[in-house]
Amino acid sequence: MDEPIGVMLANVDKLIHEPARLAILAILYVTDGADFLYLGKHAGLTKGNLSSHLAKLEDANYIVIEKTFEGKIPRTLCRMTEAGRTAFDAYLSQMKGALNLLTA
Amino acid sequence: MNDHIQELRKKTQRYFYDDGVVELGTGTVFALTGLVYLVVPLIPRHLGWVIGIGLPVLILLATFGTRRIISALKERVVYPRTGYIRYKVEPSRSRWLVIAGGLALAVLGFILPEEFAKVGLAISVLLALILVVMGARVSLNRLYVIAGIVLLAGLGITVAGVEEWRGAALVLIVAGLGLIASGINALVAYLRDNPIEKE
Repeated sequence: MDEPIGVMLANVDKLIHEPARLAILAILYVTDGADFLYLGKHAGLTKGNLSSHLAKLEDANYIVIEKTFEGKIPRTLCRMTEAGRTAFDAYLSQMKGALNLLTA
Repeated sequence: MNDHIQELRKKTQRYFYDDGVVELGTGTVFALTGLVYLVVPLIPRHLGWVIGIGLPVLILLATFGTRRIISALKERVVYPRTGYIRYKVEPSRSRWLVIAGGLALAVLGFILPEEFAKVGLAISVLLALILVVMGARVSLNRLYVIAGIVLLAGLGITVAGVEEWRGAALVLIVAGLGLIASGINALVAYLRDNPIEKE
């Protein structure tokens, strides 16, 4: 018997399912990294809010915050890890399944 | 779900063009190349090697220099206002489409009547194709408008019977000025909508 939709939704990754973190991860999913200013503006978050959510994602090893140089220019970039990418793919798959059930 | 991810991908790609800096740089290269083309008919025949070697070198230098200027402008003007993203390097089908378009034009130039082999018209068609492909790729509608203007310029130059080098020069100058005007318009709007936030 197919999983009930309530169970499907209860089993989604709660860390990703939060709207602000979902926005952050969606941006990082389609890029090779973004700085805090871009993430804050395009995810619609204040600095404090953004820092808090980034810390949770970093603790879960879904993202990594790197200080790098591009030529002589220093950059602090947030980048999705492989674990984060796998978790996000799984989340997309679960949500797609749930939405298909809802619209069937 | 995949559609939403594709839309987000397009949006991040469009971010590179939102501020108009790339159009300004590209338009400048086109316009300068067109101005150089205007000088070509004035060069004596026995100095033809100057065109053969000098022109590609000049275009390469202008392109390289413009890329440096675009990067510097982005660092000073754009990234402090709306942030920086590092793009994924992905294979692009549109690049192959443009190359195929260029090859097709080259073949047409050999097999079709001379009217179609006019350099100015060929360049206007190729430029319009590039602009349309770019516009579709990043959903930037203003590039379609410039493509239309460039195509009209190519047709007008062909109908007016402007000779080859001069025709090519005029098309490049029209394309360049169109991109510069569009770039300035976009940059002014971007600066107005995105002031630097005070700490």
